[in-house]
Amino acid sequence: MANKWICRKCGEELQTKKTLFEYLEHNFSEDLPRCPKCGKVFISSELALGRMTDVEEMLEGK
Amino acid sequence: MLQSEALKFTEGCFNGEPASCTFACPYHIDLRSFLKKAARGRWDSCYKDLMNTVAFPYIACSICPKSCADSCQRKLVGDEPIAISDIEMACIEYAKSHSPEVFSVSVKPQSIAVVGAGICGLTAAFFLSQKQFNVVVYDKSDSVGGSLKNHPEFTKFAEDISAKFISDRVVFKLEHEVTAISELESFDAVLIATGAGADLFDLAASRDAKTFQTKEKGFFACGKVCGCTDYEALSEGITVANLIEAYILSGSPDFGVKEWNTSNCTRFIKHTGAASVPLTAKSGEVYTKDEAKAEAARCLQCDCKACLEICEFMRKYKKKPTKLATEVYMDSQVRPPITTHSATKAVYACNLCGKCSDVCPENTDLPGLFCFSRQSRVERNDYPPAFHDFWVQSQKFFSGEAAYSFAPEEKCEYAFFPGCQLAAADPAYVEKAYEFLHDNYGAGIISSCCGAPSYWGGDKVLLDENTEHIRAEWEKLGKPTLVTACTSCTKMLKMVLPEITVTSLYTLMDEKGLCGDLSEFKKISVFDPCSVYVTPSVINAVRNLAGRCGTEVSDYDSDGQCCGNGGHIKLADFALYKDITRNRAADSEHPYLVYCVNCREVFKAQGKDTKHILEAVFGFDAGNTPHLEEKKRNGIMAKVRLLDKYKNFKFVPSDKPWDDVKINISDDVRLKMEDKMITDGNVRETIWSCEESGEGFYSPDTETYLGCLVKPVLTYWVEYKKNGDAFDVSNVYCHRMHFREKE
Repeated sequence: MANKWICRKCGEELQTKKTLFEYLEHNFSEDLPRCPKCGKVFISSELALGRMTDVEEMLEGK
Repeated sequence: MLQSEALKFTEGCFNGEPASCTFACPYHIDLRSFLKKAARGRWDSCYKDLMNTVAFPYIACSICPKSCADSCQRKLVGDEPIAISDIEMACIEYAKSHSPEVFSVSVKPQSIAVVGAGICGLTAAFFLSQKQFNVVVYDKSDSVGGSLKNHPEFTKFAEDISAKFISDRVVFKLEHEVTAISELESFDAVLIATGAGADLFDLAASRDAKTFQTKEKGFFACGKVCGCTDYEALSEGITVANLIEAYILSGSPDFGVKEWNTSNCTRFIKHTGAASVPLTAKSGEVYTKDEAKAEAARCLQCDCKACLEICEFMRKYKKKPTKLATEVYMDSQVRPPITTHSATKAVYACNLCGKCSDVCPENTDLPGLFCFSRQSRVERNDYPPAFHDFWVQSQKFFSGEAAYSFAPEEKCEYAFFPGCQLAAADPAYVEKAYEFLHDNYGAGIISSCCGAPSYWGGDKVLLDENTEHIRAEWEKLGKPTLVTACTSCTKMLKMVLPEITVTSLYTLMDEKGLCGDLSEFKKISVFDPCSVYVTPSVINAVRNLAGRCGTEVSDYDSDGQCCGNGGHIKLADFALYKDITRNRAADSEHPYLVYCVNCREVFKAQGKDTKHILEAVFGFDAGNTPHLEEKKRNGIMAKVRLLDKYKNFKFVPSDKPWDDVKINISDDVRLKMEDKMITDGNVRETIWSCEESGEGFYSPDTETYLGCLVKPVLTYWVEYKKNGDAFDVSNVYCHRMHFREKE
C-alpha cells in the first residue's frame, strides 16, 4: 500500500493544488498533492519516472 | 547557423539518388521503389506508381526501348538484367484497378488547350487534369490516339486511354481542326502536340529545348511535331505538364525544369560480392505472380546505405544523413515555445565514433555535424542541459580538485597524461603505469580531464578553459611528450593542442618488451576502442603485448565500433545505449582484452569477462566497476598517493558539510542511481539539507522521510529511514523539469 505522507514541517495532510512547472522555456501547470500551509510540492517516484519523464522527453524534441 | 554550414557535413552523400536504371528510363520511373513493391506482390500500389509517372502504363511499357536493361547493375555480377518490362506487364495484369487516383488538390480556374490527341497530348492532358486544371483537347480526326492508331496493339492502347479519362476536367473536341491562333487566345496556356509534319502556326520550330516554350508566350510544343519517337513523345508529355503548371502558377516554366544528369550507380559499393541470381523464367506469356515477385526480388536496390546499415544509431533513427543535416539547420531556427525541434534526441544519441565516416564512400561526417549542432545549441542556450551535465561536472572535478602535475625534476621529456577515468576506475592503474614511465623515462605527470565531456556536450567555453589549463601545465613541465593511456585523450589532444607531441603508453610498454599474464583465458579477443583509429600503431602495440601474456589472441576485429560510452549518450537515449553495449559485448564469444577503462566498465556491466591490458601486464585486479561516488574518491586517492610518494606532499582534499552523512544503499537502489547518474553525494546532500531545514514529507505509518533537493539542472528526491546515526535509503529518483512552490 502506498505511503500516506504529511508535510514534515507543518504536520498537515496533503491536498491537491495547482502547481506551475517550467522546462526548456515551456510553462505548464498540473494538479499535485501539496502542503496546504507551506505549499511544499510532493512528487512521487511514479509521477517523476512516468508522466514527468514523458513530458520532459516530448519537450526535449524528437 | 547558415544552412550551408550544416549541409557541408553531408554534401557528398548520395543516399536516395535515383538508381542508374531510373536515369536510363525515358520516363524516369522510380524502378528501385517499383521493384521493391513488386517483390512483395503489391500490384495495386505498383500500378499506381506507374500510372502517376507515365499516365498509360500499358502503352508506355509497350513502346518503351527498354534502355533500363543496359544500365542494370545485375550485369556487374555476371547476371542477366532484371526483366523490368515483364514485371511491369505482370503488374498491369494483376492490378485490380486501372482507374486514376483522385488527389485532394485544389481546383484551378485556369484552362489549357491541348492541340493534338496523340500520345504526347493525351499524356499532358491527363497530368494537367490530375493537377485540377481545365483541359480542352482538340483533334481534327474523329478519335484519339494520333499515330499510335496504326500500332498493332492499339485496341489495348485504347482501353488504357479510356480508363484514364474519367474526370470531367478534360473536354475532347474531336473533328475540330484549329485553324487560327485567335481560337486559342482565351486559354491560359496552349500545348501544340499536333504530330509529325504538322507544325501548327510554325511554332514548334521555335521552342526552347529546356522549357518547351515557343516564341509565342504561353504556347508550348512537344512530341512528334518536334521530331520525337513514340516513347519520346510520351516522355515529353510528362515533362510538359510540369512546365505548363510552373508557367501558370509562377509565370515562368523555368521552375518546372528538372535536370536528369546521367549517372551510374556502380559507385554503390554493395554490388561488390553480391550473389549471382539467374533470370526468372516465364512459364507463360506473362509472368505469374510468384515469377514476377521472384524476378523483382533480384533487384540489387542500388542505393548507398553503408552508414545506415552499420550503425545501431542510424538503424534506430532511420534518418538519412542529408535529412539529419537539414534538421540540424532547422532546429537552429527554432524559437521555443512557439516551435519545436526535430532532431534533438538524434543529435545527442550518437556515439560520435566515426564508424559511419569509415564506411562512407564519400566524405560524410555525421559526428562532425552533431558536435557542430551540440556546440551551436549550447551557444544559443537552446539545449537540454540534463543530457550532459553529469559529465561536464565530472570534467570540472577532474580538471579541478582532482587535477595535479609534477615532474621528477623541474622539467621532463615525457609526462604521463592518464586522463580522468583511469584513476577513477582504480588508482592502481595510474600508480603502476606511472611507476613504469617514471622509472624508464624519467616521466612527470599531468593529471587532468582531456576535455572530451565538454566537447561531446558542446560546451566550447569549458573546452577552451580546459585546453588552456592543460597547455599551462605542459609548458610548466618543459613541453614534454605526453604519454596517454586513453585513446580518447589522444584524439582530443591532437585536436585541441596539435603542438603537443603525443605517444601511447602501450607503444612504450611494447617497446620495452613488457610481458603479462592472461593465462586464465585460453583465447581472448582484443576490443579496440573506437577512438584508436587516429593512432593505428597502438592497435599493433596492444596485440604485441597481448601476445606476450600467455594466451591466444583471436582474429576478432571490433572495426572501429563504439562500446556504447562514446559521445555520452546514456542520458539522452538510455534504450539505445543499452542496445549498443549489449550488442558489442556479444560481438565476440571470447573474453575481451581492452585498453580503455570505459570499454571495460561497459562490458563488465554486461557480465562479459573483460580485462584491461594494464591489469594483465602490471599484475593486479581492478575488480568490479566502482560506483559514481567511488570514482571521484579514487581520483582523489591517486592524487594523494602519487604526490605523497613522488613529491612527499600531503594533499588534503576539501570536504563538504554532508560528507559525514552515513547512508546505506541497497543494490536495487544503487542500480537505479547508476542508470540515472545520481551520486552518493547527491543523496547525502539531499538528506543533509532536509535534516538541517526539517523540510520534506513524513509517513507516520512507515516512519519514512521523503525529501528533495533542487539543483540547477536536476531535482533529486530521496526516501529514507533513520537507523541510529545512519540513514537507510529506500528510493532515489530525479526529474529535469522545475516546479514553482511560490506563486
